[in-house]
Amino acid sequence: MRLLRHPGPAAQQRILVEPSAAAAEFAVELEAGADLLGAFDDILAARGIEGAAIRFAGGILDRIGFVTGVPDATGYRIATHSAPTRTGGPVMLLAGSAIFGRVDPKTFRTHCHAVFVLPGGEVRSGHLLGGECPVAIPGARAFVTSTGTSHFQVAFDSETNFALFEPRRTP
Amino acid sequence: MTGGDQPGVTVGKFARVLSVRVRPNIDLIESVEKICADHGIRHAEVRSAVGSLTDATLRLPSGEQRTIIGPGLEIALTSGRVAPDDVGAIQARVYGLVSDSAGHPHGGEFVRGANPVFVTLELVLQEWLPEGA
Repeated sequence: MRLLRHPGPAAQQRILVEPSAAAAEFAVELEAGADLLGAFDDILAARGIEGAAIRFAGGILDRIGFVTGVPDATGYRIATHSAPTRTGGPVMLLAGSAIFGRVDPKTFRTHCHAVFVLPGGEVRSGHLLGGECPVAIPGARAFVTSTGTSHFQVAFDSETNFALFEPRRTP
Repeated sequence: MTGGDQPGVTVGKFARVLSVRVRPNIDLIESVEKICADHGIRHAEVRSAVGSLTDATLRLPSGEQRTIIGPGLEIALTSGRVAPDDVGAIQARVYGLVSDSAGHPHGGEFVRGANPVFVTLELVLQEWLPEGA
């Protein structure tokens, strides 16, 4: 197993865990026009949910924007996100996994990696870009599991030089 | 009801939900097994996993193992479960896709000890309590 040394100091604790009792679970049907990722800001906030696991179960998008992992020529990080790939639709979302959490007290983020079919039939996958994946007719479906009394919070990680989700206990 | 009248059917309920971050250079499968062992969880399901691997080693249907070289392979999809093996040891079996730098997906079962986290793994696990277990 190849291990890489990142630019910053490695924190001693390598696995961070926040447990919670079981909490809400529900299905979501996203309608045409909704942003695949941004839609969860209002849906989950309205239910008082600050952290969740989201599993996408199919849908059609008007277009898609995504990135992948590529070497970082600047050396600031070992690797970073590629320039965005933007493709017109219809794009078929096959499946995807996402984590919903907080950026700051007023802002949420849905971090989503997914696999999808482009209009010409090519299957691709990657990190979807918020605001760049509008849902088309007939919509998209997802299942949500709340993380209960825990949530994910963005924090700067000095080991990798990324702003990353980490689990926290919800006050 | 345990589902015992239908082979292969187990009735149960979901319980604790664990929000997790795994830092770089820790193996995906070993981390899931350690987390469950540390929390006294014998059965669990992967609810979501988003992150990246340095390299990925996947078991194919033939049993062959294939390694995709990164770093920065995006974990695009996972499904999996944790359950005791024949001798009672906690064992995670996780399947999924990783995305290479060109956006091409590569699928299979993640091989224990061969899938190091690159930048982060954000993970939600949920305990499963089978009746009669």
